[in-house]
Amino acid sequence: MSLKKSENIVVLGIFLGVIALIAAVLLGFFDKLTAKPIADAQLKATNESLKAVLPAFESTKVVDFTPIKYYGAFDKADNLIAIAAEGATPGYAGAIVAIVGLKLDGSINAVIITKQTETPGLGTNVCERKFTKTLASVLKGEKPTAALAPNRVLDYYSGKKCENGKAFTVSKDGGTAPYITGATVSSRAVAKLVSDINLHFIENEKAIIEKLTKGE
Amino acid sequence: MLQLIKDFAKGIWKENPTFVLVLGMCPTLAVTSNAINGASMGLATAFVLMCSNIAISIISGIVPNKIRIPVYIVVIATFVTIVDMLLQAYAPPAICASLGIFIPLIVVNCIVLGRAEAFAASHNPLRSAADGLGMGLGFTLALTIIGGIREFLSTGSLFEIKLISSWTTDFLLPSSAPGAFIILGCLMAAMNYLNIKKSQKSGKVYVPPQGMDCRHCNICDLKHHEE
Repeated sequence: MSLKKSENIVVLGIFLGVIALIAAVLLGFFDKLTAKPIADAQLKATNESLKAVLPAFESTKVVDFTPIKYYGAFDKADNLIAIAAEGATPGYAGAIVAIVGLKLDGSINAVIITKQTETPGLGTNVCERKFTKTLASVLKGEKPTAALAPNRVLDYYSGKKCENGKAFTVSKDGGTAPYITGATVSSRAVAKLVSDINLHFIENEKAIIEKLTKGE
Repeated sequence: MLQLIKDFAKGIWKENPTFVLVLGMCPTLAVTSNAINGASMGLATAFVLMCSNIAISIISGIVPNKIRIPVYIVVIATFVTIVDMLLQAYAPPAICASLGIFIPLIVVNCIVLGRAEAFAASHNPLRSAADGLGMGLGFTLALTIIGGIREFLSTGSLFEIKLISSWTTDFLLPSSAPGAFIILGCLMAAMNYLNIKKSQKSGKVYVPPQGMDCRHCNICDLKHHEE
């Protein structure tokens, strides 16, 4: 009796099992093959975000203060020069994840959003830093000169600090932070996220710096 | 050889998976907000389609009829997971982030299972590979065109290059899902129109590929052309 027309449930089960086994072996092989490149790619992405929000640094160290993750940036002589903090908050659609570069006095160096699923054209304008390429600039082979693409909302926070424990609020809510019409929820979420991170750092500054500078 | 070229070419125009077979609408509407996303989604699907077509055509002779669909799905899911891992490892992070969930969803893309059932299961591996590659490229082409139109209409740029530099405010309709439907509809109507014109020129009646005609719907008025 041919396999093709088999109706014996044991034969069918074994056949499916063999196919699944072959698939599992293949997947295991590819998992092993790509595990290191995937880890490298993720590390590179994190490093690139850190480079964008921090002044030049030599090495980094991570400490976890749930819900916020802190990256200490060290110079050649192993002195702590700045700190980056990564945190998340719900946006208009899904979580917004930001990395905030902080100077040691607690003021903000720069803000970038590393993960977001906001509405294209509205919420994304709050979150995205992207250089605009024009036909002329591509043909001439021009490269952007600044390290960080400008963004009206995110740039507002650079150099600022939550004074006296007061959070940033958008101008619609009586604060001074800018918002984009049609993307109030996203703008509020960014203001809240940046304040959360900034306030958390100010509150736990001693513990964080101690943990970062303490020997291995 | 001629047969192989025919198998390959039919996916691009005559049986284009998006515009004629109208399969795989989920990624078609979801990821085509710009041309680059459309093209990369299309290429990922094309790779899966070709690999799964070859594998299924090889094993189709021994797969019991009763469990052929689960077996095909396991094969397809394996290739999709491999593509997902490869993309995470080697593709630019921006592309990975914007395709996100839609890569694993290739598993349930009707084009892939549809070609497995309709073509690969009854043809040899070489012809199945040609069919998969043609269908995949047809899909890629369709997604890139839709993505390009949507990107241009909403931001005035193409492949993330601003063509009209004074265009500063985004036009939201084309970049949203309803806009995608409207553009898809316009493109399908245009394709039907071209096909009908072409067959009229050669004195024939336009007959859509078997099982895919739309004569139950009177919007394009195909009957009129048949008379």
